[in-house]
Amino acid sequence: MIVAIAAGQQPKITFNPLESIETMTAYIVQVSLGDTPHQSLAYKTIFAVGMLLFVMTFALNLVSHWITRRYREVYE
Amino acid sequence: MTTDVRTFVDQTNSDQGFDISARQQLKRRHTTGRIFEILAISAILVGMIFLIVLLVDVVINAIPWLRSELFTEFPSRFPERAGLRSALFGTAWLLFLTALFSFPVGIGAAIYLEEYARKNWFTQLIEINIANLAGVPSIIYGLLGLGLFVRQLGLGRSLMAGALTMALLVMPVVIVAGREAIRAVPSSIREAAYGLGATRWQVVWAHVLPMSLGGILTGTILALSRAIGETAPLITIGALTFIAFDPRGPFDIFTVLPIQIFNWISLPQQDFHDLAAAGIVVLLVILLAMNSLAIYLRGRFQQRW
Repeated sequence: MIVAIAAGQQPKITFNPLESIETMTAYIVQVSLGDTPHQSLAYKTIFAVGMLLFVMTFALNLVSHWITRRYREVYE
Repeated sequence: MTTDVRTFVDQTNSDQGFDISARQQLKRRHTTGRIFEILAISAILVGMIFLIVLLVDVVINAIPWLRSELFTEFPSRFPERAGLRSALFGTAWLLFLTALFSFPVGIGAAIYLEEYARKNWFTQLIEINIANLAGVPSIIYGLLGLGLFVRQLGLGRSLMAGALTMALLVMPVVIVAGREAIRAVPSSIREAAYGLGATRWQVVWAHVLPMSLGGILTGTILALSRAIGETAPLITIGALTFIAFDPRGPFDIFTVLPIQIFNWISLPQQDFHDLAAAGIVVLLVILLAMNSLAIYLRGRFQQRW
């Protein structure tokens, strides 16, 4: 998370790696740092972002699970 | 390997041309080997050098601020009066409560999976789930804590909510470490106990658990040392607060070391950045102490069969 903050806090779409951007984690932290009222739009948004992040890591984990199973060499 | 090639070269000594090309080929292979070795060494050096530079830089900034006030004073607007007291108390409380929640549940799950569960699709599903939970970004646990503990259960931004969130975060690591330790107990010991008429409960409680305790404790301590370095989930549940008192109980609001460091770094004054460096040194010392304890316990309880 701390590393993600080094990437900046500017939400924009760019393919230039030298420009600052904002990661999903940094966005959640940024919203949480302020006193977000319960049930406000920002409060609901961080859960949506969190869910998308979870789905992405879940997919990656499934792929890695599949790779380890596929290439595991069983001895004996 | 080398002798093989040499005899091969000796045998073909009559054929002058072949001899030379074989020697050249051998030389080229040795050179390739050396180049690869150098590449591998420089790969290690890059990591080591960056780590050392980072540590030296932090320690140099920290030295003037490593004084007794750092441990006895509360956070303050004035860097010369600011200290880590509330953060140290918060970290200690959080560590204690997290261990309290994650240890029994994690070990229980590990025992169930290793000693009781049958191998079927359900345990397979649980295993995939645990592996997946271990790889989920910590901020997602923070969101879970915010929704479940802070709002639904009404715990507020208390130590309790933070500790429960942290317990969930380290649970997969504790379960995996516990399972490894339990699996290391040879099945001959279980079978001997069963052979003497012990029940499953007696086998687990009197033999498997004591024998795997070293590994379980080591894994739990390593998991906890991950927990005290985590910032993101605690910021999400709202622990980034200016705390100028000692937490009196598990339902008080709190701050912890990494959050206090983060707080100081986000301030503009250079003095606070150096204070943050001092905080980092304190956090590193605590982490190293915990990891040394884990290594000590591993050596202490290590058994050979």
